[in-house]
Amino acid sequence: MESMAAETAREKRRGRWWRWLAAVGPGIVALAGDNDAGGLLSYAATGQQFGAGFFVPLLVPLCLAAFVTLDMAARVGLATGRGLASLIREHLGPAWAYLAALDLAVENWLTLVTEFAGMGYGLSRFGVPLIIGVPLSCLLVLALVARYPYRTAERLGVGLAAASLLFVPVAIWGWARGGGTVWVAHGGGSLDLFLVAAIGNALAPWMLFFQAQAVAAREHSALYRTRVDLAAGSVVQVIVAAAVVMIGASGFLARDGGGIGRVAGYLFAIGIFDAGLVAALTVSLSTAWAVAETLGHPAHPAARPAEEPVFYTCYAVGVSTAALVMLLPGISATWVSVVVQAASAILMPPLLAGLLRLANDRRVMGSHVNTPLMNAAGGLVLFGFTAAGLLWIIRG
Amino acid sequence: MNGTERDKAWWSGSRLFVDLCWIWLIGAGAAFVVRILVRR
Repeated sequence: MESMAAETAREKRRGRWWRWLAAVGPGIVALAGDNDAGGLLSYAATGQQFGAGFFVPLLVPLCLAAFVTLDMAARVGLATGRGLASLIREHLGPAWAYLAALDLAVENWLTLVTEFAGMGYGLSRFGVPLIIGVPLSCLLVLALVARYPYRTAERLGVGLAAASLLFVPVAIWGWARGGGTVWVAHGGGSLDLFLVAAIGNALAPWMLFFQAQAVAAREHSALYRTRVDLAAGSVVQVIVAAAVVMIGASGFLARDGGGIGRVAGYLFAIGIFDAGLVAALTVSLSTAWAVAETLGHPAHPAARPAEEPVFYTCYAVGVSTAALVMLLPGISATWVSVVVQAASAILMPPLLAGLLRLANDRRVMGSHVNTPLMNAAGGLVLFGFTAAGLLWIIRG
Repeated sequence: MNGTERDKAWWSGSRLFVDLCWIWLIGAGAAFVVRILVRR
């Protein structure tokens, strides 16, 4: 009897753990995906130019902005069980739907280019030329999605997000070797451009769509578990981003690996490749979901390629063209990464405005509707991104 | 005129809101591209 009771208690305990583990997913994957190859190269370049002293503290408010915004997207998914694109079309009208689709398509195309830049860059550190590394990366992404259901991609994402913590020892290594020099500015680039890029780096349009859709697709979503997932993702994001700014500040982008040396340079290259792979999966999947929805063919994430031809055609076209762009001669991965992050600051405000409108619609949200505090926080994020966009236009 | 029709009327605050977003996206996007080309 006693052993049976112990067994039942153990099963209950395990059930509880499984429920928590099952909730881990969309938020962590979205935020790990945001620390994508382009984002990381951009952070590293920022650290190299300006040191870690100014940009590392800036990451904390930016991380809070990402949490507030993704929480809104998650609540939309939770309240409706549907993706953001079809909700925007239904409740905000066609003008919003086309705006959101255009916004998302432009940003994602640019972002996917930087993911392949990062994956190719990571492989090139191991002697694989870009002309082979980029097509190989593209085939890997297509094969993973064609062969395995979305849930597998998500688990891979969680695993790779954990692997991205590799950046932390590399950063400590660089800091120990560089001493106080990692905190001060080394270069003389445009502070405005890098500041706007850092703000744009905190959030990307695809994350909103991904978060809402992934939460909607889960069977046992609950608000508090979704928030635990998001909070965990935010912490991982800010730690990794801070580490990468410091790695950049310790001179990694120099050809010899600067202050962090060759082995640490290899670890960084693996991390950049991982980040590119996770983000290429999440970015491309969310684009395909949104485009398929806008075209009136919503796809379930669990569907196989043969069951959802429109979905997977959009997907394959998006991924392949982005990879092809990186094969054009004369493109600098670092420059593309910084500029794409800055572009995100311009592309986010319309989507944030639409999301705020949706999150305030009680007919859509029910009990998950925005409170005044959530509106104040969301409004602040919208204002921050708009101001950053204007800063770039006026002074960038 | 019900709530939904009012939301979609061109003069309503809602319609103005989305128009402003379009103007932002096109205007700021064009300015961004020009900036990039000039800097290059």
